Amino acid sequence: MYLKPAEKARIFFIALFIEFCWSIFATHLLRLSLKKIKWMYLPSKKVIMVFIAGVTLTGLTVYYGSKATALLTNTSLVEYEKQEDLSKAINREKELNVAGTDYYLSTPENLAQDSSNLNFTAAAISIKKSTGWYRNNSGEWQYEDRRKGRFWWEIIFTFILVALWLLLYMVWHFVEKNRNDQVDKLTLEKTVKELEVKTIKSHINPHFIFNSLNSIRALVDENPQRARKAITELSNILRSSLQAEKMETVPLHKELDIVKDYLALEQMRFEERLKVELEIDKATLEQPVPPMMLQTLVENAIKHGISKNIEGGFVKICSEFKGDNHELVVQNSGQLNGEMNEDGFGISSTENRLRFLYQGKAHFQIKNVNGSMVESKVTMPVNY
Amino acid sequence: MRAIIIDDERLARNELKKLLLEFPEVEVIGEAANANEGIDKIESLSPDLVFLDIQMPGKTGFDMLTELESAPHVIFVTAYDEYALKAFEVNALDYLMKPVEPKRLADALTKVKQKDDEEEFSPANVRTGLLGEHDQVFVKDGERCWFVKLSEVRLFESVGNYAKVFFSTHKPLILKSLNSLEERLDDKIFFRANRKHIVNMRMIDKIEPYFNGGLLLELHGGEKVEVSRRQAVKFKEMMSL
Repeated sequence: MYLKPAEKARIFFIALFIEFCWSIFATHLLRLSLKKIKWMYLPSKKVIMVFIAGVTLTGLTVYYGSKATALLTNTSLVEYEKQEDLSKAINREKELNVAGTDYYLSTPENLAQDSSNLNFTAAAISIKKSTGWYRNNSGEWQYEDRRKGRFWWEIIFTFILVALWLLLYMVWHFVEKNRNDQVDKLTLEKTVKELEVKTIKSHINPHFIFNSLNSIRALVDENPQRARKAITELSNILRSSLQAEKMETVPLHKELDIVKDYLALEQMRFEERLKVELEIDKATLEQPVPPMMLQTLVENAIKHGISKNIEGGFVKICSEFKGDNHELVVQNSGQLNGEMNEDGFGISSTENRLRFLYQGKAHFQIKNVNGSMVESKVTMPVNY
Repeated sequence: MRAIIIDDERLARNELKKLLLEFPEVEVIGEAANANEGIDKIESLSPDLVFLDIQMPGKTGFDMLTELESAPHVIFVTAYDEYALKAFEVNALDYLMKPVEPKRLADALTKVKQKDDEEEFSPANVRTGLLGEHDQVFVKDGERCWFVKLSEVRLFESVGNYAKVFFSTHKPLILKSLNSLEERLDDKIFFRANRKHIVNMRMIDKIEPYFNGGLLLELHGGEKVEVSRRQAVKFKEMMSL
């Protein structure tokens, strides 16, 4: 049987299509099972085993599936080629003028060195060589595959393709998942930050509350007048820390009242160890400021500047206009020594609050000044 | 009981003194406003009991304790302090929260008295200036800290200027050299096995002969310590007594 070129192309594409269908089927199956076993959470040793098993099973499915379909539907390219070659062999026989003779019996071993016999032998060899077909001793056509080892090559080729595909699939999914995780983490971080800012507003150091209560108890006998005043001061601080949650900003003079109460209580505890200075421009008293922010800065100043020093120190608060900005400055004696990260809660929360409130138009800075002083400065736009 | 109060706030000290008036068995013999003063007071007055604040200027109460040769009974007194609370929870130290509740103060004092009595009944508690097995040292290892009875210590190991203290399952470092420890430790109980180790004789599990006429001691915790030849002679002498 002779295949016309158009027909050959058709069969080629049908064979290709069948193979393609099998690949889709096998890889889909593989994908589902990979998903099922959650390969991404397996230890890397197991992932390698899964990879090898996946390649083997998929490769076998594609290879044998395509082969079986080809045989069943009789649209195998190989079978067609064989038939085509047979017609070639018959034509060749005619061309060499050996058709109808028993030339196929003339092998060099069993015949004498007759020149005509030699020609016959050459013809038999030539036909077999060019087509793969030859006549056996009883004169029937037989086929000998010229491409020995093709089977293995086909298998290896299929497997390499499947392995490449699987590798791509796994790497892509891994990268994708990592990216998704990163995004999830970032959104989570953001919400946590926002929540933090909300709770920070009402954040008053419990250490301060209990220490103050303890001092007040000592004062009840020693100086009842001062004790009563201290209770009022502490109540003011607690009340405003509760209210702070509800307000975006408060006028500076309100915030200053709290800070003064706070400083009075701390002076009661530290006595002569704490010196306080205020330098407030009266014009700034109505300026809106975030509630409890100045208080946090003063608290930090005392915590790091005074409470750690045996001799104590001073805290100075300044408020003034500088151009279009309102500047709040808290200075305290002492040194910044890399503690900013360790106790960074106050600093980072102040930065966060300013960023949320003024959309980046306000600034916060903390630095050493004159070698023996720490200055934290908040700059806020006046007309915001 | 002779007590001293170490707290940086005058009012806090006064308040505690006032509370202690209710307990006639406790006599406040001194006060200190920071860790350095505290060390001086403890060394000069050797009180039975110390009320100690943790957050103090300069040095914390924990740091102060690690500097002492031998730690007295301590009741920590602190306002809310997460870091300290963690240390208390882990180590079951005695502590009071400011403002101090009189009932809790009474409980803490009873506990101290009980401990005191236990030690009094035990023999060999003669004050010789040496650290006996009932003395305790305060050790701190990062966030964790302990009062360790010397009788619980199996082994001191020299690590540069520090000494590693082996007790129960822990082995923190203390800033003391092995030589200074040897001078202060009771040599009936603590034996200098070699240049790097001092062992507690009561914690020896096995004794085996070793190279060069030395000995190999195995302690209760499984640590193996070699006794040098020179010290092995001394060791045998002590054991034969």
